Order: sequence, then C-alpha cells, then structure tokens
Amino acid sequence: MKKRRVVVTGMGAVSPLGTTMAANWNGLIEGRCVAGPIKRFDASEYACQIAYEVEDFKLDTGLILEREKRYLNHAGEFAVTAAAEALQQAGLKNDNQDRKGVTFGVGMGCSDPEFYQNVFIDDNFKHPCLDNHIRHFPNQISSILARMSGAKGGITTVHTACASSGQSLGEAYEQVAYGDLDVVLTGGTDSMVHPYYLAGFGLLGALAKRNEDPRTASRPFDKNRNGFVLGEGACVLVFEEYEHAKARGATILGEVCGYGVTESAYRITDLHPEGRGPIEAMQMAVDDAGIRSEQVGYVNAHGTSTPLNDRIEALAVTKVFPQSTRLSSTKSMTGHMISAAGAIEFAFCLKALEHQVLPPSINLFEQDPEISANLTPSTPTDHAMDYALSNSVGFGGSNTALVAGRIPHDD
Amino acid sequence: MTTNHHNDICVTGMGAVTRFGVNIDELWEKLKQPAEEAMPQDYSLAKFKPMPHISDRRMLKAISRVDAVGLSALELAVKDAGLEKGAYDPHKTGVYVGAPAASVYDNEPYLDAQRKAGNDLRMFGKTCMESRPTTLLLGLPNNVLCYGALVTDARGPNDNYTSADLSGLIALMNASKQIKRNRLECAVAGGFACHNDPVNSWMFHRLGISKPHGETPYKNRPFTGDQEGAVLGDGATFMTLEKRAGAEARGRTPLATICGAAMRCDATGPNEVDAHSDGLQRAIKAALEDAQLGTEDIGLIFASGFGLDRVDQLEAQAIRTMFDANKPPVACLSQHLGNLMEAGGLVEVAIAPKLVAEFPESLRPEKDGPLNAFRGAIDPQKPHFMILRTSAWGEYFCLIAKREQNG
Repeated sequence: MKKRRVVVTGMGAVSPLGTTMAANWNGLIEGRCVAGPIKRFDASEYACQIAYEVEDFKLDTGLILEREKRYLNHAGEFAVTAAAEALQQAGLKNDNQDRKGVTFGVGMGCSDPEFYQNVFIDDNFKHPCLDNHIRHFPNQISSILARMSGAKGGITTVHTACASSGQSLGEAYEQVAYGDLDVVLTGGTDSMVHPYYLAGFGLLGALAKRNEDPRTASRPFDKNRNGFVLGEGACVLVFEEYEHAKARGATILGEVCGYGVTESAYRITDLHPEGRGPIEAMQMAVDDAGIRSEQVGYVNAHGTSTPLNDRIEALAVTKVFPQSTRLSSTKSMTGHMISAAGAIEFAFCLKALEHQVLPPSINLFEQDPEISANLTPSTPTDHAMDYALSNSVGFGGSNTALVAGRIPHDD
Repeated sequence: MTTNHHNDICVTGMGAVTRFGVNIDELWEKLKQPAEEAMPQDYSLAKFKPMPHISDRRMLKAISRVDAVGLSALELAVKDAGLEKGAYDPHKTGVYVGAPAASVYDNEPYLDAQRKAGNDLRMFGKTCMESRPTTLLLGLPNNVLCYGALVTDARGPNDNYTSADLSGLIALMNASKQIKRNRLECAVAGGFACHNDPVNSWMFHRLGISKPHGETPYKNRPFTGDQEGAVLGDGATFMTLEKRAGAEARGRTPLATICGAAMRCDATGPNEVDAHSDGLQRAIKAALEDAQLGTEDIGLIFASGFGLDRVDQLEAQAIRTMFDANKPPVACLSQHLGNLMEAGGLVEVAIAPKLVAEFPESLRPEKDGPLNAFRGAIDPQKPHFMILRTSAWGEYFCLIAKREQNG
C-alpha cells in the first residue's frame, strides 16, 4: 500500500519549562535551566538531590470528568493538560470517530510510599491509601485521552521506558501512513520525581552528582558530565493524514516524514559500544522518509548527559550524518522526562524547522574530546534546514528515530 | 491484511503457560473436561517453575517472576518453531509483547530500607543505598521484550504494549503488520499476565472488574449474568510469525495464518463501558474488511467471555447481530482458564484446529444462554476463525485467522 503523508495539526506540552508549547519553545530558545533542589519531598539524604520539576501547575478540573479524578496522578494531569492544548489547536470535529485513535507512551507509575508502609509493611489491606494505588494502571491516561478526543478507532498504550513516546509517535505515524486511521492523538507522559525512582536511578549510578550546582548538572556531551537529572511532564501531538487536514482547513505545523525502530539486543541499560541499534534506527528513519542523510539539518539527541550514552550516541550520529548536520540535546533544559522525552523532543524539532533555528547546547563548557559530532552553539542560531531528526533510546534496548519535515506545500 | 499465498503471515510455533501447564495437548485434555471451580491460588502460576524453559538462567536473577513467566512462553514458542539464531537477518527479526504494568512487588527490595528508615522518606535516601542495585530494572514493563530480543538476537522493529486486556493481541497484530510491510521477516509476539496476587486482585475487585479473592472455589462464568466479576487467570502465550515462503524454506508447517485484525473503543474513559456500545461490531466489521472476508466465511468464533455481565452482554449482542445469518459455532476458554487479561485471545490459535475433530460441550456457550443459537457443528470447509477480546474499559478487538491444520 502506498504510504500517505502524515502531518501534525496540534501540539501541547507541560514540562519544567512551562505549561504550554509556546512557553516550552520560548524557554528552550532562551536556554533556560530550571533545575534545582527537589521540592516535592525532602531529598536531602539522597545521593542526587536535584531535579527539574514542573511548578506553578494546577490541573483545570474542567478538563476531566468527576469519575476520572481517581485515576490521575501527576503524569496523568500533565497529559490531560497537554492533550487539551493539542486538541484545541487541532480543532477537530467530533465526526468519523472510528478513524481517530490514541497511541500513547506512558511511564512506570508508582504508588505512594505510604502505600508500601501500610500494605506491605503493616499488612493493612483495608487502608484508604489503597484507593490511590489505582492510579498507576498504565492505560488509564490513554483512555482519558480517547474520551477527550472522541477517538473510537482504538487505544494503544506503549511502554518501552525512555523510548516510550518515540515509539508511540512512530506507531501513530504508521497507523496514519498505512491507512489504519486518519487522526491519532499521540505523545507521552511521565513523572518519576519520587523517592523510589530517585533511589532506583541512584543505585544504578545514572544520576548527576552535582547537587551543589543543579543548573549545570545536566550537561550533555560535556567532558565532565556525570549523569542525568530527572525531569517530568507531557507532550501530546495530533497526527493527521495530509489530505484530511487540508480538506478541513487545519493549520499544519509540520510533517512526520519517517520512522525507524530497532532493538539493540545487547544489554538492558547499556548501548552497544559501536552504536549498534541507534545507527540502524536513524538510517531506517532517513530511508523511510525517502531523503538523504545530508538533508537532515539537525538531530535532537537522546543525550542524557551520562558518560556512556552521549559518547556512543554521538558516535552513531557521526556514522549516519555528515558534519553539516548539527546535534544537540535539549535535556539540559527540560531534564530527562523519561517516557515523555521522545514526544517533546520531536515537538522541538518541528518548532526548530518552523523557525529555522537550532536549539542551543547549554551547559557545554568543554566538549568531550571523544565526541566529534558537530554540536549546536550555546545560543540559538539561525539555520536553514528542511528536515530534523529526534532520537530516543530506552532501557531495555529499544531505539527510535523520527524524521520531522517543514510545513509541506502542495507539490 | 490478506496477501498472496507466498506472503501469507503464518504462525509457525506456539508457547503457552497456563494453570494447566506448558503442554498444549495436556491443555486440550483439560479443556475437554467440564470447567470446575477452583481456589484463587489455582488460577495463579505460583507453582510454575520457569527455570527449565529459560535458556540463559542468569536472566532469572535480573527479572521478576512475572517476567519469567512471559519469557518462558516466548522461549517455548521459539523452540516449538525450531527457530535458531541466524535463521533470519537479525535486523529483520522483531519481538512484540503485551505486558502488564510494573508490579508493586517489584519494589519489595526497598521495603527493608524503608523499614530501617522508620518510614522517614528523608532517611530512606540513605538506607536505600543498601538495596539491590538493579531494583529499578525489575519493574521495567519491557523486560520480556529486552530479554526476548537477546535470546533470539532480534534487532528489528519491536514494541511493548501495556494496553491491559488487548495487549497481547495488539502485539500480534502489529508484528504481523511489520512482516506484511517487509520491515520484518520473522517475529515473536504474544502477551503475559499474572494478576493473581493480593494487591492486584484487591485492585481489580475494587474497580468492580473481578470477583474478590475468597475462601471458596469459583470459576469464570461468562454469559450467565454474573455481576460479581471475572475470575482472573494467570498465563502467557507467544507465537512465532513468518511468511509462508520463509516457513516452508525452513521445512515448517504453519499452524495458522493471520488474516486480519482491528480494534475499536467506546471512548468513555477508564473502567467505563457504553451500555449501548457497538464497539465490538465495529471491530468485527473492520477486521473482516482487513481480511477481505465476509461474515459467511467465518467458521468458528472464540468469544472473549470476560466474565462481567455488562461486558458479556455487549459481546453476545455483537455476535448475534453480526452473525445472525450463518451462526458459526462459538467456543470460549475463559471458564477453564479465567480471564487472562494481557495474555487473552492468544492460545485460542492453538486450540482452533483441535475443535474440528472434536468440539467438547465444555467449551460451548451454555444452553439457554444468550448464545444458545451458536452451538452448531464446525464446518471443516470453513477454515477461518475469529478471536474476540473485550475489556471492562470499553475496548474491543477482533482477530481473524485461518487454521492450516485440522485436529
């Protein structure tokens, strides 16, 4: 079957940079870093005490039904808010509901520590905290998004750790491109700023060790990087078949041109030292888009600021793209949003193409000499480009790459 | 999703772990007997030993017991298919998994630290450093995908779905699509679920989905008007998928071919079902269109048989509405196995051929029930069968396959 063109007609985002897509893009271009000591709980005895937290956020309860409140944790509230923004921008009518679907990436979800105290330690199965435990069903958020959008064409919830939203976007793209659906609400959400996850990532040695200077702790590709800093948030996009969007006069924000997905089949947390996995994913995405690698002007890296990921990912990028393709990671400004990372980073690619501007590389004090990739400057830079690519790499070995294209014009 | 003969997407191997063991023939013998009530623990896989089925025993130290169940079924499927590493290009081999959410039990390694800290979350930051370093990884819902890819050297397209009841079938559908699009030549796809623990069983009951874990035996009672809820069953089923040309080149006889699939939903939000839903009808129509078949081509229907009246009524109504003209026989496994949640709708592929030679009363809908008219004989000349899946969340799935063997 001939593939159909897929465009983006709505975007919404909640992240530490702000609670709208515009606020996120503006914060990115300003190179703003809002990392700081964790406020949600007392993290003063943890190895890593810093995070990028979403602040000044309050869910508009008018977006949800009374019966849905019990199912929403932080991640759920972020997702609902981002979805409302995306849906408003898309301006979809409530028709052809069978041709609309939801494909969404979610995170691990975790009950509150009091749950573990009351249920596991005190063996009290009648404690009221059990009711809150219901909030960590992974597909609840997708289900609410389907209700919000009137999408009756099916719901797919994806979880491949940090690659979750990259894969959900990729699957949504294929659902539209191959004719299964005409419109898909897609994206990802996560919130792992929680004692158990801070402990978990800390035990793995994955978190940055710069509590004294949180705003420079996340420093992708820097010679002295030593781990990532947790972020949180959600990004939701509306993918739509191009002719369908044009016919209803939708505002088109950009195009989804290609998707690549691979499994490293190497180790659960580590990338293959030669970049096996990401190389193939990026090449697959470029081939799927029907373009040459030199046509990609910018790659938004997974770029977590861990010693291993950044070095290997940069190596992989240089094996696929020429030096004219610029590279950066925006996690120095959003933190690592885990299951939401791929979605917001793809949105940043679309905005970069719209404005013909390269996002800055902040906290790059001294580029790692082992990294030869051509990183973007420390300030936003005008850059003529037709395509950008977003990478995501997850624990468990899934690698995704998505090619974004400029707003299409009729041929 | 119909294709020409050589490009048919074939099931060439099957691995299943159910409360009756791992042997499909033994499962069949149990299914032929009337479904008996059993205690909650009998629907769990607490006594199942994964070690003999997992090729790299070191993996058992890295994953939870639930994941070990899933991985066992995956490896059983690969073994059943005789699929060795290198049989296909690793970049054209993929793993697709339907998985449950992270279990709360995955955080048990932290509990000692939490106790030591006197439940002071600040001090937990210090005491947690004595916990098992890889605790976080225990809870990754995509562990079976990761380790499944390692044992099969599957480096191609992949995914992991946490879509609750439809997860395993979504994995099967999407793996099939990637083969059809030539992004893959071979895939292992399936689902697993082990919800029969005190916390999950409480949670599903609290949501009004399942019966409470009680002190008396019970069984799932689909289409009987039972309002109390489903009996949760633990299980895992995976299957290998290849194009017919590839399977024949390897000397394998397919078990079935995947012909079409579709899903739909009510868009009513979590744990809500539209009482007047036509979601399952829409899924059936879309799947038939995908398979380029008509209702008259379907020789057998496997009902989901969720076990919750408000869901079962919709399923019965959909079957009666869509198949009123030809009334193919209906079978249902959920009385014997319980509601398998993420693993549901998959082992039926192995059971379909066996029903041609013998269709036991134990698998038929109850006499005088809403599907009483669907108790006829199987037509051996109609090899296409349909697997339906419903959920308490207003989500519906229809898979159409064709048996390649009879009995």
